[in-house]
Order: sequence, then structure tokens, then C-alpha cells
Amino acid sequence: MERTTTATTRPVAVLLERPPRQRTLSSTVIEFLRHSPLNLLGVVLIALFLFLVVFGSVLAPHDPIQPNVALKLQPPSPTYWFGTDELGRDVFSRVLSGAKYSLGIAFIILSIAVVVGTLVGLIAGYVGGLVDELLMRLTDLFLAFPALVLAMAIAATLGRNLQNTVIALTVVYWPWYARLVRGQVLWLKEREFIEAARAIGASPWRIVGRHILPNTLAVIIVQLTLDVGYAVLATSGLSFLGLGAQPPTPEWGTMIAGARTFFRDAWWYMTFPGLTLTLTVLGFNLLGDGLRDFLDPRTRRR
Amino acid sequence: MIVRLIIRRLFFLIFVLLGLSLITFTLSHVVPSDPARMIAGPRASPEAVEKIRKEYGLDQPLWRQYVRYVSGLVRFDFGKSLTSRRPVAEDLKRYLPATIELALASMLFAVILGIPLGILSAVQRNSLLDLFGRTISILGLSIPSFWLALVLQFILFAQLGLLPDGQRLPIGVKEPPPVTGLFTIDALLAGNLPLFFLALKHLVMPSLVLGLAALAIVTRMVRSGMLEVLGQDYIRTARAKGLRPSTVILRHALKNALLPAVTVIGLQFGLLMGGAVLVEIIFSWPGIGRYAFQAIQNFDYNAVISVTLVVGAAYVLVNLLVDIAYVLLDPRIRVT
Repeated sequence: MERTTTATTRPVAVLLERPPRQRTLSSTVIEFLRHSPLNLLGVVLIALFLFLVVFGSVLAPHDPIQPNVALKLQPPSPTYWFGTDELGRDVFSRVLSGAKYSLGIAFIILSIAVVVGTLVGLIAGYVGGLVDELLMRLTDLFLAFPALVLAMAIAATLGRNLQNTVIALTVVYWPWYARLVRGQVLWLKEREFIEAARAIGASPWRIVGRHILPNTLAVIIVQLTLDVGYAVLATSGLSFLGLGAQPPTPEWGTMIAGARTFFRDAWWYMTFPGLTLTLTVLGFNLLGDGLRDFLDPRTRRR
Repeated sequence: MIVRLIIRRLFFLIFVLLGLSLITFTLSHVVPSDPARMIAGPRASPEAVEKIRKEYGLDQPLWRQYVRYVSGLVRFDFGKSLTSRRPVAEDLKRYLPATIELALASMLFAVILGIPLGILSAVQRNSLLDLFGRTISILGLSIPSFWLALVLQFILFAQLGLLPDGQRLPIGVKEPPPVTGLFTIDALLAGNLPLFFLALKHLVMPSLVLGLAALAIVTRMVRSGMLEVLGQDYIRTARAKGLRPSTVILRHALKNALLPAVTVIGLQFGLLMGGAVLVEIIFSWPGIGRYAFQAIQNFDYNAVISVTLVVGAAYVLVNLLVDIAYVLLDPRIRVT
């Protein structure tokens, strides 16, 4: 109410004057999408699969778990778009319901890894000294293993289920974020605005929470986007080996493992879960790449 | 300078290896099942289980088992495999060459294709070839290797019959006399060309699958390195001098563009080792990846520890070599 009155009482000239161009969130997003068609493709793919994580099970036209042996290994048809598997289950329904496992698990893994890694990185970078040295040597140890080999060893020793896959891959991923955040903190710590904050007597908590952390977010987000793809691949890879999700869970890697026996007779069975998996990873790789190029001033001018 | 760097890194390597063994050792003792019971079999009497527990030192306190293990490691004694009952070191010696051959072939595939593709992609920017290079460099990282392996098996083996679906050689074919353990090289050394081509044929599909991700990364690194270098003043100078474009690109730009790629190529080794597990299982490739996987199935923790350690150690060593190569290639860098 108040806003309309002030607007109408303003001189017309002021109303006609356009406000100076500001970099609002929406204008940045539009600029990003216009930057490259691949960015748009990435966003569309991710939106689609995020939608499936939430609504996939609801949208599935058939029961993804209940076997119906009479219908086993049917080729794609109007009723069963992606055909059926060896137990007569609808592959399309299983692919839809699988999003929440394959992709959802990757989100859980990375959320934990980011929180742990960021905390360790902030502490190491801000406190410095012996604490920094100890924490960084700890990350060195974990980074000395090829990721999948370590994850496999952990998942195998803890037992075969999705919960242990989460533990295994979190252990593998957190050191990367600790490293990343620490580097950022070291760089930010010497900047003038941090010194200024310290000079006016801001507490360390306030400096880290209000000034350092927000400035590391962009780097974390880019890394995170790129890592979702890898985490999805790792989760499904472990499940393919039988170390992650167990049948009859409609996880994509588990489905491909099941399809392996039938790859000569039922091409659709392994094709569709694999394509879905590829498109999911592709979406995050496209977006991550796009974000990195967009935010990096060196490549921006392209 | 370089000697000091190597000594420093070798010293560091010892600590990393100790740490690695500690991590895997800890892990192996989180195992819910009783390893002594596993070896003895489900029908063994309690006395027999106890005897095995003693024989394998599983009754000792944990730190004792660890010390015993590490002091063995120094002598390349990895203990006995709990399932094959052979020394793990012997098993590793048997399976390692297959993995090395696979990893080398994959790396070769990635480098031989990736470097020219990256260069051409950068030089003819936004051309059709560039589009192809960029597609490879993003799709290669998006396709799950285990799925690609199955798809290629379906097309190249089941449908077209062009390539075998697994193994290093057909069953019944005599292996070449072992020199390096790499069948292709050994066949050449023995002067047996048909055997060489047979081994090569078996190597093609697994190394293609394993090398694709590395190819993607090499292509991308060479392309972006080249693009950055091509925009610099000394390249413009070289062009202005009237040098032929090929000279400018190959003699002036390439050396600087390849530097970042070298580091990345070295780091791909870790990716290859992780991917090797999946690829070796699908292609029945008798390497340490498949060995480790079978060990996991059998709760054979000595074998799992050893493979993880060997892979971790190799990873650290490769990174050391990469660091040294980097210093040798770029005199501007002084690592202290």
C-alpha cells in the first residue's frame, strides 16, 4: 500500500529513468545460461533428475520391486517403455525409482564430506601452526590412495550395504574439501577486509563465520557440482561390484550388474539404466564445467 | 637440487606407507567375521580353528600383529593369503604384470590420441574437430566404465565378433616365455608375431574402456594449455617472424602447453588403478584388481591390505616421478 502511494507521487521523469544495472541473482543466472548452450543442457538434465529423486517412485507406472515372472525379459513396448527384466519387473519404473538411490546417495555423501571437509579446512587454515600441519598430513594419507580402491576396501570390510557405501565414499571425499577450503582460508586470511574485521575487534568465530566462510562458498559449489558426477559413478560402481545397494533395490549400478548375464538376449535391460546414469553424470559435468569457466576470469572472455 | 627433492620425497614416502598400512590394517580389523574361522572352513572343530589362529598370529594383540606385519613388509613379505595359502607377494608377482600391461596400454591410448586431439582442437578452435574433442573430453568422464565395457562387449564381441570378450589369451594358447610379464612385449621378444597380435587383440577392448576417462582429461588439459599459450606474446612474435604455423605450434607452443598435462597424466594413474578393478572383473583380466576383488569376497584381508598398499605405494611413487619430470621440463620451477 505504502509502496504504491510513493510510486504515484514520484515525478514521472524519475519513473522513466531506469535503475542502474545491478548484478542480481536472476540476471547472473540468465547470463550464465546464455554463456553456452551446454550450460542450459546441464541445468535441464540436472533439473530432470532432481525431479526424479523426489517424484521418481510416485511416477513409476509399475511396481519396481514386485516380480512377475510371466512377463520376464519383454522387449520395450507401449506398456513397458524400457522393457522388463529377468523377473518381469518394468525397467522404466525401476529406472525412475532408482534416481533416489543413485543420485540421492551421492548427495548425502557429498553433504557430509563438504561439512566435515570445510570444518577441518577452516580450522587448519585459520588456526595454522601444528594443528594445520597435523590435519594436512592426515589428508595426505587419505589422498595417497586411489579413491575407488580405498572406497572398495572400506565398503568391503564394513559390509555390503548402502549405508557403508556412504561411509566409504565420505571417507574418500572429505580430504579434498579440507584441502580446498584451507587453501582459500590461507589466501583470505591476509586480505585487508579480514584485517579490518580483526582490527575492530571481531571475534574469530565472527571472522570465520561471517567473512571467510561466505567467500569460500563459490569455490566449494563449483567443486561440489563436479564431484556429484564422480560420486554418482563411484556409488553405482560399488553397487555394480555388489558392495553397495543390494537387489532388489532399483539402484542403477545394481541393475546393470543384474543385466550383465542377459546382455546378449535383452539389450534394453542394460541399455536404459546405463544411459540414465550417463545422462545424470553428464548433466553435473556440464554444469560444473560451465560454472568453472563462468566464474574464472581467465576463461570468461571466451 | 633434484637429488634433495628426491630424498625428501622418499623420506616422506616411508611415512605415507606406514600411514597407509595403518589405515588398511585398522580397516581389516573392523571385519565382522572371524578370519580364522574363514580359513578353517565352516565344519572345522574349535581346536582346528584355534590352531589356525595361532599359525597365522591372529591370537596376538593388535599392535603385535601390526608390528609383525610391518616388519615383514620391509622384507617384501606380505604374509600369506588366507585363501590361496600362498605368500601374497607371490600372488602379487603373478597378477601385477597383467594390470601393468593394461594400465600402460590405456595410458598409451589416452596420450597418443589425446595430445594430437587436444592440439588440433585448440588450433582449429570451434571447428568440427574441436567439437569432437570437447565432446570426448566431457563424455569420456560421464560414461560409467563398467557400462561402456558391457556395451562394447555386446557390439564388438557378441554382434560383430571382431574382438574377444575377455582374458589375456584364449584358453589353451601357450603364454610367451616370461621376461617382462607383459604378453605383448614378451611375444615380440620371442619373435612370435601371431602371438603378439593375438595378445594385442585381447588388450584392445579393456584398455579402450579403461583409458577413456584418461583420454578425456588429457585432451582437455592439452587443449586448454594450448589455448592459453597460443594467446601469448612470444607466439605472436614467432608468427610475425614468418615462421611456418607448424613450427610455431610444434616447436614453440607445444612444450609449454604440455607442462600442465604432464602432471595431470601422472595423476590419472590413480584413476586407472581404481577403474582397473571394474574393467578387470568384466573382462576376466587376471590382474591385481580382480585379485583384490576376489580377496574381498573371501575376507582375505592379508591380500586386500597388500593390494591396497601396493597400489597406494605405486600411486605415491608415480606422483614423485611426475614431480621430478616437472622440474626437469620446466627450469623456472624450483621446488624447495
